Amino acid sequence: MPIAMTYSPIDQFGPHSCEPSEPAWLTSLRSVSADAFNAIGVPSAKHEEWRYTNLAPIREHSFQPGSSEIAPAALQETLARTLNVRTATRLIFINGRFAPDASTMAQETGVEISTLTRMLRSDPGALESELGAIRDVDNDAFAALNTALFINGPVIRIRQGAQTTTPIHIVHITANSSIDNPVASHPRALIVVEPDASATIIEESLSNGAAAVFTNAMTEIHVGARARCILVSVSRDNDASWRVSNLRVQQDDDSDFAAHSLLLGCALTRNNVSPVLAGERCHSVLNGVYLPRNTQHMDNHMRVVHAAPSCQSRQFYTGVMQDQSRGVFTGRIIVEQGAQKTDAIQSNRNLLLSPDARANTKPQLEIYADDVRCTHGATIGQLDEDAVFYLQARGVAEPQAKALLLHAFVQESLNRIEDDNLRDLLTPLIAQRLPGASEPGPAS
Amino acid sequence: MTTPLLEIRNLHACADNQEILRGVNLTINTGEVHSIMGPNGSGKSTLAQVLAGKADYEVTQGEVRFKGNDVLDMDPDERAREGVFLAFQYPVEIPGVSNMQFLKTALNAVRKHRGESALDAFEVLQTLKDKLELLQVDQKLLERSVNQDFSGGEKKRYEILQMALLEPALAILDETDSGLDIDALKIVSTGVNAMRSADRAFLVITHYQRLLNYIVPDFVHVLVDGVIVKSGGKDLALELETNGYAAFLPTGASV
Repeated sequence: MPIAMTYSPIDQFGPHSCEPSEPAWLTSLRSVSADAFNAIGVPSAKHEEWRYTNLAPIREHSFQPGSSEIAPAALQETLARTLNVRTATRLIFINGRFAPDASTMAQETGVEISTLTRMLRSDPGALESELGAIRDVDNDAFAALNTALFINGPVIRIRQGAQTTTPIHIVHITANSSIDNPVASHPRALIVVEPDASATIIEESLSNGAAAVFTNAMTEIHVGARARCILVSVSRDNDASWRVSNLRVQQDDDSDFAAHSLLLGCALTRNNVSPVLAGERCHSVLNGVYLPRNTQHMDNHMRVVHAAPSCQSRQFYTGVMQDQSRGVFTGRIIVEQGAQKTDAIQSNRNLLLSPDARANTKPQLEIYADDVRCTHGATIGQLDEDAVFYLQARGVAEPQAKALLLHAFVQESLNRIEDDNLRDLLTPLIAQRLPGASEPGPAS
Repeated sequence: MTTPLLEIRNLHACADNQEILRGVNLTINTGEVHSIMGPNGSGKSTLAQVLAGKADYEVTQGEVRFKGNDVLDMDPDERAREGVFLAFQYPVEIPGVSNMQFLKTALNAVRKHRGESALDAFEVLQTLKDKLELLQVDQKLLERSVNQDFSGGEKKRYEILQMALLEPALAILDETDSGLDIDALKIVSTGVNAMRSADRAFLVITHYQRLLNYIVPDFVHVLVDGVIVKSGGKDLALELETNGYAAFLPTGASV
């Protein structure tokens, strides 16, 4: 009797090579994850969590892992476009595979930088307790898919009391895709900031070539007691690509975490940010800017879990929608029983620059403790015409007046990045994206 | 014979399909201070906004010439760069744009138009120092967002500060005295009077005569129902204070 060939949703993403040298615990984890993904498949609009974001483009394609070879000249050109971070550590990944020749790694006491592949080979048991350990709040299909299919990614460990003196710059380049045979990449990152340590990390994604790539990224960060971690994420993939990213964070007592996100690229982006405040008196700031244009769709999905008392969380997300683009924000706050004295604030501001631009905003509070402070606010509006006229009445031409107001709107988010150098990296990217010249005065 | 600074001929303007200005005629020469008074709804603020170029108003007839040029054809920012300044009755707040940034941007836009070099923040501050003192505006205010959390008096003093910085050829003050106590009124008037010169003209729009004790006009015009019904010297203002607008209204109408 012929054996029926059953198609599993995961098969859509190409052959997944299990490294023969992978430890048993990882093989098992991948198997469980593959099953979890297959049980859900690529979510449809019937899933409440995906109500505003249509994943048809991803569902409709078959993907392949893609080669990580890029001709030297093309690679140089792509690297020249990356953020000019003053650092001695820059890790380059191409389609989720490490490019050691293009990367640089500084030696710093207490700052251990490696890759998943290297770690698993040299010390197979080392990551077992940490990889995939952070709570999965939503049974997320794409997180499961990443665990099943990831090839490689950075492993960064900041030892107790140590700190990064310059930011660690992680660059993800996608390449070698085509319309008929698009690439899917599942980069993974594991960052452990031990107690009393501090780290600043910059994650950047961009494309080599104009063809669409599906990136399904996952970053897990453990922030130890009294530790500090700042993550700046910039998405600059080409306008055809699709991107789902999962940022999972677990924070211990008195820790401080800030995630600054800037979304510029991709036809479709889903930015999931899920910190779990597991220790007491943690601070967590989720600060995001999304600037879609043309028909870009950017969906930001926060899931903040207050699992311990006296923690403070802040969600500040700002969107400027141009043309026929769409911005989505869901701000979920879960305050567990026992998370007394929770202080949570959520704010989403949206500016629509054209009649066809759209914004959706949805706060979602699930509160199971009784001594908490949770506030949420959202605005969707247009530029204040009176403010534009006031500037014009003082000699500023209309395009420059609007640009000034737009920059002011976004500047508030930028100002939450305390480090001037980090902020200065993002300012020109934002200026290029927003309409209007940066130089005031009449054009002559 | 020199060209008048501002010539308004038979100006008709409407908003929301309602005619507000019904044939305004006015000539202002440089060096002169004119005042326009009138009852509520007469079109005083409309006139100021039409001169500044607010898009909400549609000019249906007439012409306005500034320095001999057709001004109705110009965008608001062009007019401002040419030297028209409107001190707003209700200055808008602009969160996220600092006062310093605002002043520097405005000043450099006007300077560029005049063929002068741009000033950096430090130079702008130097230029501002004596004006800040004259108008009793705290320098720390410059770090705050434009008009944000300003009291009524602070907003009006800040409008005059901007006027002092931009040195316009024609300054239109739209009910600058509204909402001001006597002390604020005196400070604002001092600022305006310090700017009086042969190279500058003022159009002071006011409902009450009191401001004109401090900013003494050369000419006073009464605007009623969108038309100037009477013009005279500064004594006309005193006459209005005594008798009100009744004499100029259609029979049976009230202010």
